[in-house]
Amino acid sequence: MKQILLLYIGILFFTIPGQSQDELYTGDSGIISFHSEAPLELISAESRALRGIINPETKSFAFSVNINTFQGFNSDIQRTHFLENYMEHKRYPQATFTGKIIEDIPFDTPGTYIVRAKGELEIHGIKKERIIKGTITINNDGAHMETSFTVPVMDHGISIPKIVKQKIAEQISVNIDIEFDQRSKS
Amino acid sequence: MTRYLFLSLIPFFTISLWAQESFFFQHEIGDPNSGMSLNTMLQDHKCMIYVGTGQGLVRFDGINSYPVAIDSAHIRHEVTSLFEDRQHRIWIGTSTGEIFFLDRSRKAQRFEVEEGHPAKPITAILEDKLGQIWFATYGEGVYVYTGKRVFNYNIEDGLSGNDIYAMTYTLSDEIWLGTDDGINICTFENEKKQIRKLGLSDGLPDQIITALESDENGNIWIGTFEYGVVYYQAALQKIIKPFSSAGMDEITAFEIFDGTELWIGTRKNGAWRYNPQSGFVRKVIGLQSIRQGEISDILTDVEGNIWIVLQEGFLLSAFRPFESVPTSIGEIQTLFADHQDVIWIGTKRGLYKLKEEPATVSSTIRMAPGYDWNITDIAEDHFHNLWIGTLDKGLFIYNPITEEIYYPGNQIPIVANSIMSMASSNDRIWIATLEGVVTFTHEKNILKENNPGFQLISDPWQSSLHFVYQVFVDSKNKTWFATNGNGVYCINGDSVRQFTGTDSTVLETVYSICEDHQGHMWFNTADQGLVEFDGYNYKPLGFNEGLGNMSIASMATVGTGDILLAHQRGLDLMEPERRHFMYYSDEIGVTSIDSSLNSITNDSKGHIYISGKNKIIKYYASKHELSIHPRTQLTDVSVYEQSIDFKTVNHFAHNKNYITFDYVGLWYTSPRRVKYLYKLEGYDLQWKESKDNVASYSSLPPGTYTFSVKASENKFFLDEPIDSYTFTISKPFWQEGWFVAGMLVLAAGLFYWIVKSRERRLEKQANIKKEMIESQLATLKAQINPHFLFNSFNTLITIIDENTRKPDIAIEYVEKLSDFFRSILQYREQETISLEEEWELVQNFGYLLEKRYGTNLKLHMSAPPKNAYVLPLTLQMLVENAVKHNIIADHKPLDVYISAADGYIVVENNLQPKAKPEVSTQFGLQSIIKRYQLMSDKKVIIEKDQDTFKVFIPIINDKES
Repeated sequence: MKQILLLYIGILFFTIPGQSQDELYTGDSGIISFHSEAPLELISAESRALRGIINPETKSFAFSVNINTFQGFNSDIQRTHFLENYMEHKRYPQATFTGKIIEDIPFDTPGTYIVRAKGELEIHGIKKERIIKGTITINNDGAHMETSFTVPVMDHGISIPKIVKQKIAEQISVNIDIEFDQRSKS
Repeated sequence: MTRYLFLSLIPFFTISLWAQESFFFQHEIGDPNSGMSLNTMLQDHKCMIYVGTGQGLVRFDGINSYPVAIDSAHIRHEVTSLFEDRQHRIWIGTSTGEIFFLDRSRKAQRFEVEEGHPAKPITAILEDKLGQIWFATYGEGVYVYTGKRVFNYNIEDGLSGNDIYAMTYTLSDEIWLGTDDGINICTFENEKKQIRKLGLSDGLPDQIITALESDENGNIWIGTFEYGVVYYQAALQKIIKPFSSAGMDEITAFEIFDGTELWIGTRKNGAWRYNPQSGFVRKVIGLQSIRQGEISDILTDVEGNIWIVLQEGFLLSAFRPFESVPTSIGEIQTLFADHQDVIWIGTKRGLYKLKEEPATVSSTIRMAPGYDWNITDIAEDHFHNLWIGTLDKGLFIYNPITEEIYYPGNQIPIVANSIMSMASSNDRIWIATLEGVVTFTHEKNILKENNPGFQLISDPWQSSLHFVYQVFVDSKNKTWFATNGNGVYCINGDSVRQFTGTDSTVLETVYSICEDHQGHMWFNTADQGLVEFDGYNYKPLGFNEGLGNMSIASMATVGTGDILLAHQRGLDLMEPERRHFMYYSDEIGVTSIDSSLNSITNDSKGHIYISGKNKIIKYYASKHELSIHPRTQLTDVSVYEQSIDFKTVNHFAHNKNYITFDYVGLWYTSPRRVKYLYKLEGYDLQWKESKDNVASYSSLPPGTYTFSVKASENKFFLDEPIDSYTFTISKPFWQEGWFVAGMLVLAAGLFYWIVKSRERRLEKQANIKKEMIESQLATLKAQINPHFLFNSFNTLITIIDENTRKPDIAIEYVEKLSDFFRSILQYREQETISLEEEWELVQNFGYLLEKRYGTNLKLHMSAPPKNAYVLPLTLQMLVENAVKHNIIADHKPLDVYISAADGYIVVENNLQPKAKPEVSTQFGLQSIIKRYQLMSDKKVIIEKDQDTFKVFIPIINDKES
């Protein structure tokens, strides 16, 4: 929670005041799901507690999710392994991405745009620079964003015991689907 | 003796000339009226040229251009950058930021990455030592693809700007980027971004860097928006301005020819070139005279051509090693490069000097203007005096610094008049005159000697040396003389040898001599063409060996080891080891040379100067070996005019046997000179020669073939590279082994079956016969059974007894009995009989029985069906059986019914078996059953219950029998 707050504050802080667009896009019930397709096992889980924020002025974009909100594993023991052994959620309770959208898109014109956000993906306490490609649909009172990307578990120092190597993929694919509401900054 | 000293008093005058440069050609790319812009150019490792245009990617073979589809959606992308990586993929960057590549087999693919493509134009692509591909964009900084992930550098990472104009990779493995605010130097290793900057404070003349190129010394050439060209001296880590860039505007392109000469493209002011050896920068005027406009790219190919891409849609090229300076100084008879590589020109009317200046023009300057010498040759002594040999006034000595002129002719009558040729060896100068050969030592400065003391070469060979065309000193300090009619003489110290060839190669008149890098001597002869002499053997090379023309005007050895030969209408460049000739004329803008014997010279760097009519041609001795063969490649294979993917497909069905091969021998210097030899191994016995770049074969029989093709630019095929394609046309399935074997097995099976079924049929027939015979026998036996006869005779007696008054009844009975026996005899041998006949027989039999049993036996017979048959005596036998096995008495009458029903004849009787059965062999019924099995598909059916006994006899139809 504290980190999310810091993230929000950070984004607000970088907002240049006095510009015409003074509204943020925020969402707090986005869906994030992941799939691990290993030779022996298919694991998937999702969370509906993804928080996201876009600042059209600075083109900043961030999202964050609490690791322990993931549900839908094959078994309870698998979820426990995921939380405790791999993600170590007590030490690293959140996964976050903070970055900036590369393209200049007209936030005041409804429509669907393909965007790329360049920033840092932090999972398991390890930050990696990433470019994440997705589509954003701007409508009159908010926005909707969908993206998918892969996370190589090695990149984030998530060590997988040799014995379960065949059960967990080296590349985890992640999908994000989030609705944003437009919200005045003041 | 007095010395004559002349001082030239008349001032120099210079003749302005065109710049010394190569001859440019314009090529057509696509439709010249389409207004297609040309952005970038690439030659791949197989030497194919690709051009990135406003309407897509184009492949160009020197004559034709072909569009290359890069997007399966057939969208025409504007191609803005091209790069071939070490895996031979060609990367294609477009104006919309989309990235494609041609894989090794030149199939287009979209670059698929999770991170997506840039949305801004790709301005440059390159690969670093780690194999990472870098994409510079105009608007989003630079991207680097590690093979797994794509990373980005932009302003927020510390780049000076997101608009990248240029990118180059340096020898120290750095990426240099040209931005709006200086140079950014990037590295990316282990996902760590490092950026270093060079700006105005480091000595850059301009913030905006529009072009970058690293050379083979590790220096980086920097082109700016407004302030011309500088370079970064890697050793000193300093920015240096090597020349004045006055006249240039925005620098748009760089290319380095042969590792040294820098070519510069500008937006509005054409192309320039800078030679660091001479320090001269010159505008390329020949280009300007053809086309003007923004230069978008410059490329040097493997053959030594320089290509200039004009944004507006024009492509120009020149064969860089040849360049020429037009002159208008009359007939040039000799050229001489002095120790400082200054080129001296001897004409029929005086001495000139070629002056290369750091300007846009070269010039020839008249020297010693007071003297209208008819100069035949020039030499230089160790004191840097020039020795001027004339045809009519003998020898003059000219000091280029003081411009003193000394005329020793009067003192030494033997050198007085006609000097043919001169050469300088280590210790002396050799002068061939019409009077004989004289020498002068290098130890004395002739200008300082009161009595110079020329030495006349003594007899016995003096007399035969009256006419020497050329004196030549070889690398071993031996002096060679080319004579008119007497072969070649060689003086080595005190020894003198004459070489007149062999019986087969007679050396008579020799015009000139040169030496290759192996130490072999080459003689230009009057009637044997070029003759190679390795010290022992003479090998003539003529037209059939590749010599462009038998008459050679002059020749000299280039620094590369090649020998340049001037003909009337062109030049031959020969590689002595491989004896590979290349002929140049139109392609270098030279159609008439008209060179004289001595008007050729090589300077200390190995470049050759040769004079032609109103021009001096320079052949540039490149440091890097240039390609001398066309690169041949198959471009397409089609089957029945349908193009196939021949990189992967090489198996065809038997009826896909009309195959066409498209190929090209890439020789951009002179594409129309290319000739081909091709052969289909497995079909053709010999190579076929062709000018076309297509070969077709139809109705190829099944088999494995290899199509090989090679190309030559000079009609001679020695060690030209070959491209080939092996393929198989399969046999039709009916010729395949498995099919033939299968058919054999099938035939054998069929044969076996036929034999077997025939056997079965014969056996069946035999059985029928046997059964028939048995049944006949049985019937006969039954009828001549004494019982039957006995009973019949008893009945007869009774009839006679009861009807003594009516003997006709007895007679009728005997007649019926006799009819019955006759019928049996008549029918028994037939296979079948009609039901009518059998009916009659049974009725006869019935009459006989009724006479015996009276009303106790009744035979009920319905009308027989027509066209129906049964086996003979079947019904009779069944009636007989019924009578035989049943009680026939007053209170128990026997009724036998014979009727036709549904394909059968039913014989039915009421069952009242005798208490003591008759001894029976059961033969009658069994025989019927067996015979029907053999004769009919239907079986005899027997139904028996408490009261009745029924037998169903199948009716045999007419057709069946």
